[in-house]
Amino acid sequence: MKTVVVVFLVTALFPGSFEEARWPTHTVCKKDGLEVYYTSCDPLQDFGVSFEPCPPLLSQKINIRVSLILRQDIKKLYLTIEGFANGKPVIQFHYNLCEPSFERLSFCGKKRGELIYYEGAVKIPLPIIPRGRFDITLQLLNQNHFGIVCANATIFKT
Amino acid sequence: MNQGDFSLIGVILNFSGFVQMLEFSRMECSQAAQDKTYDCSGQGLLSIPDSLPPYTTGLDFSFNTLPFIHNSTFIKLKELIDLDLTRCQINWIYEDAFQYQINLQTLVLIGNQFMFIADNAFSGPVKLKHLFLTQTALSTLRFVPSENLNWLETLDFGNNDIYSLQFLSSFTTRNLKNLDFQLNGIQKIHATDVEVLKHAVGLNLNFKGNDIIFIEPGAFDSCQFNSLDFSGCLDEADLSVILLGLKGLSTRVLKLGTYEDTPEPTDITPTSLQGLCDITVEELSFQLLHFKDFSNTTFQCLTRLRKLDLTRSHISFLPSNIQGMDSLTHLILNENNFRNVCLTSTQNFPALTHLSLKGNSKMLQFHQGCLQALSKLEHLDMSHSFLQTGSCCGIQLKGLGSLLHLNMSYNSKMSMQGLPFSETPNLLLLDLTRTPITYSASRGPFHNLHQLQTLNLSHTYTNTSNVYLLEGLQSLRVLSLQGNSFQSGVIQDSEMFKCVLKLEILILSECQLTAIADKAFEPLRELKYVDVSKNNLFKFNSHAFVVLKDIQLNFARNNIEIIAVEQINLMQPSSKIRLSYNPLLCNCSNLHFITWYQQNMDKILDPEETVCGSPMPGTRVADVHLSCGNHLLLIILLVLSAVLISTLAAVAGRKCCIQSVHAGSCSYQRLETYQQLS
Repeated sequence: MKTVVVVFLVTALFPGSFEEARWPTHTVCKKDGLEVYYTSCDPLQDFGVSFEPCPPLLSQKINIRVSLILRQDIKKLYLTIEGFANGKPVIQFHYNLCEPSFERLSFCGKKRGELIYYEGAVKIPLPIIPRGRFDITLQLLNQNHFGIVCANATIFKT
Repeated sequence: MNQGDFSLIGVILNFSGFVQMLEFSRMECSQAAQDKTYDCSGQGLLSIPDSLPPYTTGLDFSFNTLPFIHNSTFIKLKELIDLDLTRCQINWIYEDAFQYQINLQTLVLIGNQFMFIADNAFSGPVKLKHLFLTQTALSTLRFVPSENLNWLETLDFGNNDIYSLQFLSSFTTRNLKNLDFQLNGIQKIHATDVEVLKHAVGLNLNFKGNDIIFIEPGAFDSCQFNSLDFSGCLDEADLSVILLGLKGLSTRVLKLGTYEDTPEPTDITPTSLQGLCDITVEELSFQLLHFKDFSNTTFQCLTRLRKLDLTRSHISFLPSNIQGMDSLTHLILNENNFRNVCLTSTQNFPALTHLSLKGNSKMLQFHQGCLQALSKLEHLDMSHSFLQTGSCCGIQLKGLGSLLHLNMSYNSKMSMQGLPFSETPNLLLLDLTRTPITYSASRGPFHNLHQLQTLNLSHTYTNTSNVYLLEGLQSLRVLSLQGNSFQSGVIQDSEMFKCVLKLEILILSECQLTAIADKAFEPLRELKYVDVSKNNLFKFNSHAFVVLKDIQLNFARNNIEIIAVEQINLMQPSSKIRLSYNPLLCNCSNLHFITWYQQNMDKILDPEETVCGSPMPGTRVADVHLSCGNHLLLIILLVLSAVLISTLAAVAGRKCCIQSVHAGSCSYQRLETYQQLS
């Protein structure tokens, strides 16, 4: 009985000691044998993504919507994607989205605190989605190598 | 439950209160980099902490919650100069909100959804210079009281829903340097709206991403701006409508391009560019646009330009008969579809100093001397362009006698016969990164480049056995041979470096090196930075260098287990080293190095990542404690000595007393006698 009371008090008063701070895993697509999930790996914040069609047709572009708050400004913005199929590295993709000498996108140069809401058609840089489990780590870095977006995505295809 | 149990519960409750109090004070502000500035960002605060000192000049209170700002909110911080209230969920700014902040110069209010700003909200600061109202849900300029903003240099209204510039006239623009209306809903600009901007000489004015339909012709007449940005605005209007509105304008920079995520505007015809003849411009950008009927007529009104940016404007040629472009010094043709360098018709631009053909989307053939009219060209960038040169580069670079910087990196294989840079003897920088090169053997391929200061041969499959490789490079300060292999994986001797005595920075990472011979870098007396990371070195050989003074060394990511202390001791006080990601041995065989390491932490650049390989894998070398054989021996000896000394002392004392009983010479007795005598 004593032990129960002590354990109860400790867990009630010190909840942080038993939980790990983690952002929730979001389901973006779950249809026709394809499941796509993502989790933010940015310690500061979560962000929102959706795309259609679900499941996507790889030969065509997908329409994505992304919403995130900038925690630093983006004079430069650099995208890196690493993909692992069933645990083995299969793809690495790098792309410069924003540079002071060439701003590709209208939101380049936006300031800390601004919300970026991007709606657009994007081509998937993958020839095929392999069967099984496909893990992607996606990062957007600014001119200070600061993480603007960090996401771990998982795709299951059956 | 007994009394003891209740005591235990009491202890737990008290302790949790203590911890919560600790957490509260931990959550509050930390001192930022600059003196008297504090960072309270993202702490979930609901009010300005009392703990902030009254002399605070800079406060970052962003990402907290402050729904109202009253006249007493900032009563305690009268010395504020910089105040950042980004994303504070501020809805209401009431009268005299900043009445105490007379020295306030910068006020950042980005990302707050304002419902009301009182008329004299900004009445406190005497000379507010920078005001950021980006993304604050403003739909009209009248929402912002302009009376106390007479000294503004920066006024940022970006990313709002402003549809009219009608009330811009109520703002004092005399000192304005940056006025930002990007990504609003402005469709029409009338002359009366922007009349007030005639006073703002040297202004940077930004209308990026507004769907402009109409600008009253001559609305910007006599305006003298530094830059004017109408990029991403061409969805609704024809470019000619915008240019007519800009008639009589003088601006150094004019941006008319678009973006990949804004709707594609109609093609630009020569007629739609006519309005440029009535505008004074030095630098013009047409990035991402499409041209129609692209001919010399397109360039009719561009003759006074100094800089032209045609990045990714979907062109595959420039017209060969363009007239009058004698002032153009900078031409940017990146990410276009040229199939041959000659199609850039550079003979039209005899004054060019900077030409950029980077990121071409098609294979770019470069076999002829079609750049030879460019006698003043100083910077040429043809990197990432699928460049096909065949034998390079005497013919291709003909006439480029003034060239200082040449970048041909990230291209296809190049074959360099004889003296490839005979036409460009004044080169200061040459970048051939990741362009595989074959050289003809006889003499050094760069031996005429006596002025060259920077040479990047990273990942070029360069044959490093050629002792004449660096011949003639008497001015070279920076050399990268990253990713090139050496015979047997060893730098055998210093022959190669005898020609580059002024070298300061040497990069030899990813060269699959297993060893560097003694005196390999002996000729290099000016070395300041040497990078031999990401190799297979198993030894730190300081004898490779003549002296290790004022030098930074990168030995990270190698196979070094043991470091001889007499080697690393040669590092003089002003030198530093990286040793991370080596499988360093943390046992007694490496004791002397570990002792040296822990005594010389000021020389270590990466102490967090310098960890043991074995034993204790992952332990920071800085934290290692070893008890090795000889130390233990020393301790035993000391203990034994102490025991021996105390035994001898005890024995001697007893002897002394026994003697005195017989001979009366004990010191105690002597003392008593002395006292008696005095």
